[in-house]
Amino acid sequence: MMVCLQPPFLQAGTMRVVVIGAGVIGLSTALCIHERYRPVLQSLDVKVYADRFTPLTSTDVAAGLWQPYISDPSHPQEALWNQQTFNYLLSHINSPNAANMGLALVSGYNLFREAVPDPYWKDIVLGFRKLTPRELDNFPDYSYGWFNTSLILEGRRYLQWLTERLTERGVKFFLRKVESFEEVARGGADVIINCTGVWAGVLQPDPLLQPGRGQIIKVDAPWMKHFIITHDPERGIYKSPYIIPGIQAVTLGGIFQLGNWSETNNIQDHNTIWEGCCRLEPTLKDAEIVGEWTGFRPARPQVRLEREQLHFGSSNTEVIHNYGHGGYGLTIHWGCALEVAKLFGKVLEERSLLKMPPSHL
Amino acid sequence: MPWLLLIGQGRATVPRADLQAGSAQPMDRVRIAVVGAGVMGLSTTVCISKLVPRCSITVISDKFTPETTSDVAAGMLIPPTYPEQLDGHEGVSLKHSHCHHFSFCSALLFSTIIDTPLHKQKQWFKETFDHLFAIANSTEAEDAGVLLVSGWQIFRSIPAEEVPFWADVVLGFRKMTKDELKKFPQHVFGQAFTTLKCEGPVYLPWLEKRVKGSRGLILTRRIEDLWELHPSFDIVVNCSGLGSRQLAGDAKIFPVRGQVLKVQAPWLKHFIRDGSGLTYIYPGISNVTLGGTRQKGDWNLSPDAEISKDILSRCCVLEPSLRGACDIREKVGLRPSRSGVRLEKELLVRDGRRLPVVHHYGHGSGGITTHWGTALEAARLVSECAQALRTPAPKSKL
Repeated sequence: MMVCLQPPFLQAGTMRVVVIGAGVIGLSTALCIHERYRPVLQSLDVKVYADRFTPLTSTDVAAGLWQPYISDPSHPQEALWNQQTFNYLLSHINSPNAANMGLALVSGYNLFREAVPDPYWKDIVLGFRKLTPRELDNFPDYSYGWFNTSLILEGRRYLQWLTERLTERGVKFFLRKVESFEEVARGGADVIINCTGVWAGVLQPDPLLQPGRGQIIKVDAPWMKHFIITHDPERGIYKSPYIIPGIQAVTLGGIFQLGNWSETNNIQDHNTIWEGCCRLEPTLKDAEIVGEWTGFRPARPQVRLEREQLHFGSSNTEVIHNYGHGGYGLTIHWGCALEVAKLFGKVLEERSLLKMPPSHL
Repeated sequence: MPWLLLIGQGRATVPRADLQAGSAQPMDRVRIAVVGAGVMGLSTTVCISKLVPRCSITVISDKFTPETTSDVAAGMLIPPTYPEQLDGHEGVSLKHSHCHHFSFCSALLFSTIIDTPLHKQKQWFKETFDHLFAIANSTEAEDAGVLLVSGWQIFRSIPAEEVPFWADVVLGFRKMTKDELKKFPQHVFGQAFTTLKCEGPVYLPWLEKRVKGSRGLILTRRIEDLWELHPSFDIVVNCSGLGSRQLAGDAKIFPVRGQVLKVQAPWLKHFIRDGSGLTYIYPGISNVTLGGTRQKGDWNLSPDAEISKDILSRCCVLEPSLRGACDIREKVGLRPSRSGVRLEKELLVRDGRRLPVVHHYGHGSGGITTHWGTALEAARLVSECAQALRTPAPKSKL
């Protein structure tokens, strides 16, 4: 990965895109745009600006299980973007590169204390069914549940993979803390893709965006082959224990604190996670802890994915916002990247850089 | 012989029940020898210790974990579908066979369990499943090497039996959906379920601990003849697998050679088994087992490099990500195959001496799958022998 600390010379006639943010949203959006438009627009130049790169992004803390929230999204488009992401990832599952991407199939359990309606994504995942009584015997605190096959997309490995793909394409990365859209616009950017996640409020206040603080413990428990996610509708999403096996380690979690900006691990949260998960899965009691992390889900009532024109001096700068993916960033990322690419295509049309959008969109 | 020395050094002589009329005294401590320390020997020992009061058990074997056949087996609880396809032969329906001698044909073309009724196979499987399921959900799971795994059994053509006899023993059994089958373009039908994996190299040491915990003895020795155990032991339990060819003079037991690869591919969380049973991918605690072969009558324990290449290639067809697998180790095991598990009592008689034997061997490719059920039954047979020895009757019937 090339990390440069100074912007390059301006070149006449180029379409310069700056993606702010190098988590899963920033990198996948950069890749999606580059894949679709570089072939038809030789002057396309894409750069990534970020003050945090893997392994220090929010994406790196995520367990990586593809699973939307169990309630219907407030914005129906999100359901489509989730589905597009699942299908896109599934199409890679038989590639020899799957493990390199951090991608694997995983099956498991969603557990409830009472019967609930099926989720809207039941036909997106594979083999969705209800749990049988014998399976529920395993989980004495729960009386109802689902079994399905989904995907793991490990944040750290996927970001490394995205970085490799972008580097191959000549996309450059810059370590810098962006203080304003204006500074990026005056630096020569024609289009800015805002993928700043939970810190988007720094660039433009957004009262709808809040940190959904999460803490996770990673353990060595290679006998765990299934995810187990419990639900407590009274407490809310991610506040109930969950166990998600990754490629090398198993993630234990169950913390979601809205408005908490504390980036350090908290001992009470540690105990909540540990006790909850060991109660759920007694075999964990002897598992060795390999790490503990805190991250902020960029929580928002819905994803902000839209264009905005900003005027600095005499030029117009297009900003495409793509942030606020809560606890389902990995789950929805590719659908959002496709949507941003579509909006970007419209920008190109408007600027007569493109006669019509590429047919494969 | 070690145990004779022990006896000579002041071990109390246990009065033996005299089987002649009139002079009998009931036997106090029954001395049991279990021959074989694979999954059968060790689990039978544990079952006996729980069932038979006032007995001492000694496990005697030349091989222990990790060098037994049970250590090579992946330990997936999926009962074999009989008849089992052997290498180099297409599955031929007996209807179309031109052979007139059924057992001759079956020995050539299939590994067929014809002697064990289906309800028994199911009972043993269920007992094993229930026993291991309880361990999997307890804090012992990691120490015992038992885990739950979900996955798929896939077929290139619709099988005669879409729902096998064990469907309600495993968890969540159902047919695969069309979307699930897309992962396997060469297959047209599949079954999805959750079952257990029981790993020899971890399970056997765990059983050995249990044996020692109930004050069982474990001795290393190669037994050439069961009579070596007389008169030091009152009952012999023969769990010697293929060794029974010699020890029990059983010509009906033969090896079916299986070569497997154990690789590192920790991203794999599901088992995949081709319905023929010849190709499979079984993710375990610390490695993934890739298989396999079924070579009848082949005693060769050395891995064959060509076969390893072939196994990897067949498995990569089912799971292309395996091309990234590393740390590949080859292993070979000889399945103790027979037309049925031999689970019965036999009274050996020679020169007026009597030695009750309980045979417990011949599980073929269904060893770990049925071990607890057959061990319970073997323990019951041992209990019967012990009772008979303790009964001061003029003419004990064994």
